[in-house]
Parts: sequence; structure tokens; C-alpha cells
Amino acid sequence: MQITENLLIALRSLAVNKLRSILTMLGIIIGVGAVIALISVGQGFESYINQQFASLGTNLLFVVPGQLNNSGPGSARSSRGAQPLTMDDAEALRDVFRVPDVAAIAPAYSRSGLAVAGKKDTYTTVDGVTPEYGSVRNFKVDEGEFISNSDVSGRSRVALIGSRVAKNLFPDEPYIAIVGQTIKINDIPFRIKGVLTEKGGGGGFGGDEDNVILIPISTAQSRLFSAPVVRGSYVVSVIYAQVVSEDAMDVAADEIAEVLRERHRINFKDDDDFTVINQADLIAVFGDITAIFTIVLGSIAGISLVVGGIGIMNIMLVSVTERTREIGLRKAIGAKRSDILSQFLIEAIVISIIGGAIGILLGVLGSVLIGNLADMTTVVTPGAVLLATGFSLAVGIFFGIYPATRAARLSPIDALRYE
Amino acid sequence: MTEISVIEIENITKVYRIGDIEVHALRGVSMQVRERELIAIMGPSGSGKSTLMNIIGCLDKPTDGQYLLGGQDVGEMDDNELATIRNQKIGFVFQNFNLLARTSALANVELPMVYSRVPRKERHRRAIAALESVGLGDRIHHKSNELSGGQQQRVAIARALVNEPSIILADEPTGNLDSKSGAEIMAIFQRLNDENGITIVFVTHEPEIARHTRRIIRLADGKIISDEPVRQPKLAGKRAYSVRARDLTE
Ligand SMILES: Nc1ncnc2c1ncn2[C@@H]1O[C@H](COP(=O)(O)OP(=O)(O)OP(=O)(O)O)[C@@H](O)[C@H]1O
Ligand SMILES: [Mg+2]
Repeated sequence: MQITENLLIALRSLAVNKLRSILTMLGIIIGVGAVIALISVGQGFESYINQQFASLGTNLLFVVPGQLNNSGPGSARSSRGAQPLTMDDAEALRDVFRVPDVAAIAPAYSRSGLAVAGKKDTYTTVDGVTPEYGSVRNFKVDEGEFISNSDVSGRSRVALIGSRVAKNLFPDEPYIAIVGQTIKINDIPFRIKGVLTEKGGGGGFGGDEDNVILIPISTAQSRLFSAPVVRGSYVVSVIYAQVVSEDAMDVAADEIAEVLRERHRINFKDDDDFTVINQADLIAVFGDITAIFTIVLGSIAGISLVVGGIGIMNIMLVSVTERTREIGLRKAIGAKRSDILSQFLIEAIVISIIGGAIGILLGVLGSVLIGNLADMTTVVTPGAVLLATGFSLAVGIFFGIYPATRAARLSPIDALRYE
Repeated sequence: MTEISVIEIENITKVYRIGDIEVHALRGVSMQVRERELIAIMGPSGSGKSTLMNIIGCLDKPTDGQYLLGGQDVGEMDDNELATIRNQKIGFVFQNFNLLARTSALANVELPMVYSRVPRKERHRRAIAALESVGLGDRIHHKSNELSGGQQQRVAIARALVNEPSIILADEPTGNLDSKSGAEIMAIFQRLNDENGITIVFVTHEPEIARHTRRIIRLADGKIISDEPVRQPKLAGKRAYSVRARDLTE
């Protein structure tokens, strides 16, 4: 029979049984909506994590003093015999012959401090850094300039402030007007040399990266915080090493360890008194976590699709059974088996498509809503939409066609007599 | 009256099996129906009248025996051919009307033409004409549940004749109706038989109704026990036309 004719029959019988049609659709709506919303949350979480790592810098190794042990987060480092890392250590790691797989080294000396500008003040992290820090840690300057080599050698009192600091200290001023002003950090005046580009995603790893002040490392060590001197060199908090490529991460970590063990005169049989943390390892761990998260959300969504599918099945079975007499009548006045089948097929498709469309709409709305409430970007992927609609379509067709086939095979009189 | 047989059944049996029990609904029925005949089938309850009608109407198949419809062996036909016969050659009217619920009289009457792929405009025109010919020209948009029993049966008759079949079969068409509505149905049957030359076979329990025909076949216990002409057929025609005129002016 012509498709349009069947479409009309299907639409008419859907309109005649509005409540039943809506109930059937409900299963699809909930299933499709849940899959789309939940998968979008999972994907959003994943891209949030990835973005956090990207803002940290790429191909990074973190070298910190002491040995990270596995006895729990409370006792992160055993202090026994641990030597601090120094500027000379960092300098030694710049040796391209001994550490060929490291592209850049950026030591940092970090403390917290009170920054004051006029009547406003704010507590922030104050990082003493070198010029390499910008590219290694992925800090960009929105207005002004980054710390230069001469700033470091001259122990200049210059500072770059993060966007949060700028907002706290100079709420309404444009960045261009902030540059050149003076702030006091722990009572010592600094000239603002630039404002950092906002990194966003506040409260990720390593704290809020917009609530920072960067100053020359030499200034931090000697003028602001009076850092300890070990073996004739200022102590640093951490040494960042940017590795030439992702594949070289492990090799580079070994190269660094070898140089530092020699400098710290560690015996062959003793453990390191420092730790090289591999960013790739962290990413892998978090990758596992996000994968599990997505799987859990996906299964919840899958369960709701299955429940929705059972709902569809139930109502389709009831509907076809209840309409056995109608099928009998249609056959009695000349409908062929194929007419009956295509009528139910089209009905099932119409229900699935309308229900699926509403489900997609609600799923997208839900994902936007969750995104707003949880302050994260949720991603609705075409794959999730396809999966959800495909599944509900298949369920609708299968559970519509199966009983319809049975009914269409009945002799008209058996179908008509059906109670 | 011509002597051509449109329906020829030969030693038809029908056995229903319920578990181990066999019910012999028809035990060898043979009969012939000629073109333009108007026949009533009578008999006690359970005698096999409905079973016979369903077989003649190609709604059901006999257990044994031969059935020739217009010279063609129905036993040889496949499902699709039977569907075409039900659609084109035979109009069936049921005791309980069997209209689509919550659907307009017009859509109900159009249904057989949907399955014979009649274009929409023509379908519309023919359905309205059929409804007018059973005196329901003013009820075409009423839903089936908004019509009286007699009106519903007239919609069912309009549906049965809309594809211009040569045969109309009716299983107790007046069984659920009062005598006035029953007479209206008989008037329509007589007119269709007389003016349009449609062969009509129907089942009834009421002798009064049966007297509107020219031939009465009696069944008992799955067999034909008598087959005789009606000496003075009762004419419902005059009254029916007046009814129709009244319906239209209402
Ligand atoms: N589907 C069926 N399964 C089993 N037995 C059936 C079936 N249909 C009819 N019968 C049996 O066949 C016999 C004839 O039934 P049928 O319906 O033809 O009688 P009928 O003459 O139409 O009776 P009534 O006047 O009450 O309508 C009955 O004994 C009935 O019980
Ligand atoms: Mg009966």
C-alpha cells in the first residue's frame, strides 16, 4: 500500500488512542532523554579533565624534593635524609648532553603572600619563576610582558598578576590601566609588569591558577621570602621539566634522576631523595577514572533505555492484542497481510520518531541544565543521539512487528472472534 | 432469472478441534446460489449457520469439500487472492456491525477502498454515495459510537457495497436490532437485490425477516434439512423508501 495512505492510517489510529500513544512514547522519551543527558555529562566531565591537564602544560615532569611514599596522603613525603632541590640542581638539568630529552627547565619557589593595592588586599600564591615558566606551565600574558632574564638577574621587583588577583585588587579597571601600577606583596612594593590570561576551570589541580602572582625567582628567594641556601645555592620548591615529546617521558625522567642522584651523592643501593612525577601517569589515572565514570553513567542510561524498551514492548503487545479484532476486520474487508504489517510498522516508526525527537529535545535541555547547575560544559554527541534513537526505533519496530505478524497471520475469523 | 451459479459448494465439512474433542460444525453441506438470488439461512443455534457463512465469505476455510466462487476454486487460492476476493467480490455484514471505533462513518465506509487503492477523491465520492443510498447522507461525519444500532448496521452495509461486490453476505444483520430497524435493513437488501442485481445471502432467526426473501435454506446439526422457495415474499420496499425520504428531510 502507498506509504502516505499507511501514514494516514497510522496517524489516525495514534490520534484515536491518544493516551496509549503518549504512554508508549513516554518509554522512548525517558530512555532517549536519559541516554543523551547522561552521556553528555560523562563526555563533559572527560573534556573538563582534559582541559585541566592542558592548562597545566603539556609533556610535563614535576620534580619535587623527598620521596612520595604510598602510606597515604597524610605523610606524602618522608623527611629522612631528604635534601631540598636547589637552583644549581635546576641548572644541572639544563645540560643538553646529560639530559637530552628535556626541552625546557623551569624551577619555581612558591609561598603564599598578602597582596595590597590601595585599600584592597588579597591572599594569593606567590610563585618565584624564570622566563621559561610561561611556556612550560602554559601561562600567557594578556596585557604587558612576561618576566625576562634581566628581571631575574637584576632581582627586579616586578610582578605578573593572575586574572582573579586583578579582579580582587582592581575590580573595575581595564588590564591596560593596571599594568604599571604598584602593589605591595608582604609590604614590599612591586611594579605590575603584566596581567595573565585567564585559565578558567577554577579549583582544578594545583589550586586556582588564576589566583597567582608571578615574580622573578631571584626576587622571591632573596628579597621577599629569604629562602634557605643549601650547598651554596637557593632552594626551590619544584622543578618543572618539559619533555621534547610524549614518547620520551620515561627516558627523560630517568635522565633527570641520574643527574640528581649524582649531585645529591646518593648511594647505589639507596632510594632517590626526590620524586619525578610524570604528567602522563596522572593523565592515565584520571583517564581511567573518567572512563569508569562514563561507563557508570552510560549503564544507568542504558538501563533506563532498556526499561523504556520494556515499556514500549508492553504497550505494543497490549495494543496489538487489543486490536486483534480491528486487524480481523481489516482483513475481512480486504487488507492483505502486508497491509497490516506495514500499518503497524509505520505506526511503530511514527511513535519512535516522535518520541525520539521529544526525548532528544529533553535530553539536550537536561544536559544544558546539568551543565549550568554543575558549572561544566556538557557535550551532546551525535553518536549518543544516534545510539538512543536507533535503539528505541529498533525496540519500537521489533515489539510492534512481532505481535502484529502474529495477528496478521490469523485467519480473519479467528482475529474477529478474539476476545 | 439466469441459471448461472455464483456460489457452488460441494460436500463442505468443518471440524473444530478443542483439545481431544472434535466439534462437527458442518457435516457435508452442498448448495448452489444463482446470480441475483436473495436467500435466508435459518436454523437453531449451533446448527452451523455462521460457520457456513464464514466459509462462503472466504473468512474461514472448510476442513473438506469444494467451494467454487464464480467458477473459481477457492481452495486453490492463496492469502492475497482471498483478500482480493473479500475486498472486491463479497461484501460481509456482521451481526455486531464491526465498525472501527471512534472513527467517522465516512472513514469506515472508505476503508475497503483504501485496500483496493482507490484514489482519495473518488473514495470520498463513492463513500458518500454509498452512505446516501442507505439513508445516512446526513450522518457521514458521525463517529460510529455516535450512531444508533440500526444506523451502525446501515454504515456496515454501505461499507459492504462500496466496492460494488456481486455478493453480499450477512450473518444475522438484524439480530441486534428492533423490528423497525430490521425492516429498514430488509428494504435496503431488497432494493440492492432488485435494482443493483446483487446476490444476497443472510442468516436470520426471525421468520418475519426471512419472509422478505424468495428462498429459505434451513440448517440443523451441520446439515441442510430443507431448501424451499417463499411463496409470497414480503415487500419492505415501499416502507423503506418512505423511511429514507423521512431520514433525508429530518
Ligand atoms: N471457533 C470455534 N471453535 C470451536 N467450535 C466452534 C467454533 N466456532 C463454532 N464452533 C462450534 O460449531 C458449531 C456451529 O457454530 P456456529 O457458530 O456456526 O452456529 P450458528 O448456527 O451460527 O449458531 P447461532 O445461531 O447461535 O449463531 C457450534 O457447536 C459451535 O460450538
Ligand atoms: Mg451464528
